[in-house]
Amino acid sequence: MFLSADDQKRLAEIDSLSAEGAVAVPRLIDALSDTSWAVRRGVVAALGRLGDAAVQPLCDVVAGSRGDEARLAAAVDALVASRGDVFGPMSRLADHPDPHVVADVAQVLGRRKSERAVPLLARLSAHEDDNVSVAAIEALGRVGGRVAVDSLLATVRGGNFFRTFPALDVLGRTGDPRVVEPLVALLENPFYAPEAARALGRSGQVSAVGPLAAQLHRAPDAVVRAIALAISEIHDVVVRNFASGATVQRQLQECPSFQGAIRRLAHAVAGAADDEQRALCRVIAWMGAEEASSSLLALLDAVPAAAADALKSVGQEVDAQIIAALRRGDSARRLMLLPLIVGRNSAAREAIACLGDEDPAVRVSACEVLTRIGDSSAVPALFQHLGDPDLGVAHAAVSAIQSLGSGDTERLALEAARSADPAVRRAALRIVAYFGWASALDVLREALAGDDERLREAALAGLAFIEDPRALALLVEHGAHSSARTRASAMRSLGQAPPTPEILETLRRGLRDEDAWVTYFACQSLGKLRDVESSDAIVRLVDHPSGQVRVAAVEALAYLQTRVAREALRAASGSPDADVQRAALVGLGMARQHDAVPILVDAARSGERATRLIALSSLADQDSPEVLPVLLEAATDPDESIREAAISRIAEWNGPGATHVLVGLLANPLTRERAVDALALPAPGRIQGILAALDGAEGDVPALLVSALARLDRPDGRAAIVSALEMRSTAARRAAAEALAALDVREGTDALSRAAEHDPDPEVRRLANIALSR
Amino acid sequence: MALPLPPPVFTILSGLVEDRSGLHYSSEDRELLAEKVSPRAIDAGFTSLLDYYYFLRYDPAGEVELDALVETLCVHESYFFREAEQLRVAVSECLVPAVEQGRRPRVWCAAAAGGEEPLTLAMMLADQDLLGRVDVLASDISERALARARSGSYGPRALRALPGGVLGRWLHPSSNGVSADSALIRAIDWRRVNLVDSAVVRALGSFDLVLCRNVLIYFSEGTTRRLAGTLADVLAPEGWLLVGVSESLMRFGTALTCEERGGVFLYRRAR
Repeated sequence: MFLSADDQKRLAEIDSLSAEGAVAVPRLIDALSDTSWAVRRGVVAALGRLGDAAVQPLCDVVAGSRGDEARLAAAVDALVASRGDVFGPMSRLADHPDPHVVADVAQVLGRRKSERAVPLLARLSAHEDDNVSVAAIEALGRVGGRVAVDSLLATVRGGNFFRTFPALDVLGRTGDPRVVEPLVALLENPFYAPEAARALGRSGQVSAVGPLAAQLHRAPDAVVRAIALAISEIHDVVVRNFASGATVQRQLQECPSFQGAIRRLAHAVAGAADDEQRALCRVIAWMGAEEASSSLLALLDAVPAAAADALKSVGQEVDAQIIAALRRGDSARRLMLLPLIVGRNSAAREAIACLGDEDPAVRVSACEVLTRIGDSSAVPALFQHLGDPDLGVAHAAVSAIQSLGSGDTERLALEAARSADPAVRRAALRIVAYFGWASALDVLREALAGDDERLREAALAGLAFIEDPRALALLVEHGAHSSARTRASAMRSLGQAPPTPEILETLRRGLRDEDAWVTYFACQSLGKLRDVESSDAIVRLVDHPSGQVRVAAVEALAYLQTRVAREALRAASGSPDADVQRAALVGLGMARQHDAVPILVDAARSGERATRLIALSSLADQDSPEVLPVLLEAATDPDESIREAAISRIAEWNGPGATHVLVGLLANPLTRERAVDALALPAPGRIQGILAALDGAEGDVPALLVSALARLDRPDGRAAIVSALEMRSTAARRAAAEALAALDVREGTDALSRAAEHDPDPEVRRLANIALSR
Repeated sequence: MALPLPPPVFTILSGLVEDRSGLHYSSEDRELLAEKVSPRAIDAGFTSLLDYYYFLRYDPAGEVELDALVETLCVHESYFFREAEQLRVAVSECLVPAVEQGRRPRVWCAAAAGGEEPLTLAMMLADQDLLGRVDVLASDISERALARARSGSYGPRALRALPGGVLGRWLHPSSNGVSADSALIRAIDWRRVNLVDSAVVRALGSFDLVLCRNVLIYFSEGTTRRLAGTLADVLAPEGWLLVGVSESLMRFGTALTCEERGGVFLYRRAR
């Protein structure tokens, strides 16, 4: 949309040139100098597509005259994107006398993630020119792998100041457990300590936590902040991979200079950036004990958000301090502290006091806290807020009263239902409706007799839950009320009542009502009551002029399961009104008719996101072999909500093959995270399926599979991890050993002992020893 | 407290809100949206958010209710002198030179919320004796926010970044906080404008400076792309567009060029 007419014209020319094939390469190379960034992007893509034919000419650009920066950058980008064999021609430039050319060679090979290039890049990382060396180090980081890590470690040990920093950065990102020891050694060096700490954080290695924590009591503020960030990052990685941060917390609690460490962490908060403040407070909270809680409470003035967030993970030992702070605090402080109160009865009085705060958000939060505390003595105070000027507070008060109950609730609700304030009356009637007290019949009748339409609506909602024939009679009577809104409310409530002939007749009459909402709720209720005799009448409403009636008719047909209803549903699935079509798709899903599967499959490929989502949901309930391939296709949908829905449906799929499909999705970065989440949900054959995949898996996949087993958080999941220590695959054994080292598990001591002594892989032996030492 | 909002209902309801206002809710925001919508749905007499959606979609009164819902969903939180350096540079390098050339520049604060941003700009203009020589239009989708802006009353949270010399001169202490000087309020043309309605935006005319700060973060990629196009259309040649410091339009193309002036990044329309 931002392209100028001239850019568009030149891009069209590039497309034409590209279509000519290899003969167009020289002209495309010339076009790399185009002044427009958008056109150069087009040229880069075209040269990349032409593959081998363009590689050598592009290498000539890199090695030739280097005066035009934009042209050079475009040539490098084209080599990175090339479909051709770039490694051979590029490696011939690795000994070029101009170090800038050699640095570009390293950049291209790194960005192509060329594993073949690792030995060459390792050699270049020791190049005499620092720029070449740094480019090669960054390239090794992009490629990853064991040889890359060895070269980077050698660079760090070399002690060259300019090369060590990029090497540290890259080493941390490899996530390789071998980096821990050399990085920990650098924590003693004041030049490198902050960067080494950051790198340890990025490594995600739980074995780094102890050495990092041991530095806290004597490190300067800047290093303390870096260490806190690192521990916080490791904690998050461990929780994500293994569903528990207990090992991290235990290592912190075993820190040798515990009190000194907490003091240093608290001291480093002053002047820290937002993310550092949060990390410092989190680490203090994980260290536990009274010193940590007191420290965090003291920090509430300096860094309120970070300290309050960290306090959420602290136990009840800080009750008294939190309550005192609540008492002293202003609205902003109260808003922060109230969510910290979980199941602390002693806080009820302060929470009740917060109901009088001037900020409605505080009042809502106080209602929620009182619900969580479960102290029914708060009920009278909550009743005072049924007429709160803020709608959200009034709703929160109703919800809290409904959750808490109490011996007084019925009396107070009946009193409030006769209040002079209509808002209080309506709220009270919602409470009455929720509890369905027979004693409420009179107040409901009084509300029905008044002129306030919304009160009648609330009263009608309550009548459906009272087991008294007089209540049902009132509902039927109001189905013929002169107010359309009242009739609509009656129709909705009748859907909750038993399907007596009188009730069904009232609802059928509602189908012919002049008001669309009366018909809407009549349809809905007849559907819920599965009144098959209404099928024909409801089918006729599928073409009603009001949209909500069309939708309600289609939704009702889904419940009726008659031939006419199914045919109407199939027809509605092709409606031009997207909401009617979606309602039909839901209905077809509920009907579970095999001949509806092709309709649902088609709709699962609709251009409308909401339609795809609903079709998938309906399709997933069908028992058909066509379903799993469609879910798999949807798992890579461009829209995230569709991917999420598809993968969660695959996770719930009971048929064989679901685990296999989920394992397959681990290879795609777009679906990897959700697939691990899905694999971590229990399902028949899940653990066996994961183990079967684990022995042959490569790359990152073994760690992801083991993570799924750990996150199942079940003895058989942990036993499966232990059993993976006996697998042939080194990657599987390493992943299992790493998980067992990161988890506080008691299972598998024998297998770990065997691995610690006899495993052919030194890394497995090292990790098994760590696990055994815990 | 919130009514249930199953994923399919979330998709259609959030789609309706986004079509109307540009406000984007990702799937992680499902509970948040349910909490914000539920009180309105219950108050309108519904016990199901699907019924409420059909009300918004099909009922003749649905349009008005949808606007009221959008009001509830909008974030009106701002404060005086927020990211003020951008405004100072815009005044000194865009508006002052325009006035010196004998022109009467036009400024549009596109998401004015409660008025803190346009009033900050008005204070800066007044300090340069330019208040009556620059046209300032301030708009927001929320009538409630505009009413607050026109009233000029602000609480202490709006004063969190206030520099010296403002309190007492442009903001006068009142019982609940401060009141903005009425001369500043009168100098601004306050209007309700929905940014996703490109026809309405284009009808506002051409501007030398557009401020659209800290609003793109609430929009989806597609809406932001469309809005960036509309804003580019209403910029005068060489006009300035300022977005929030954490927002960027770079990924959308180059019809607007990104420049740095005095440490501030801005977008300009080519001559």
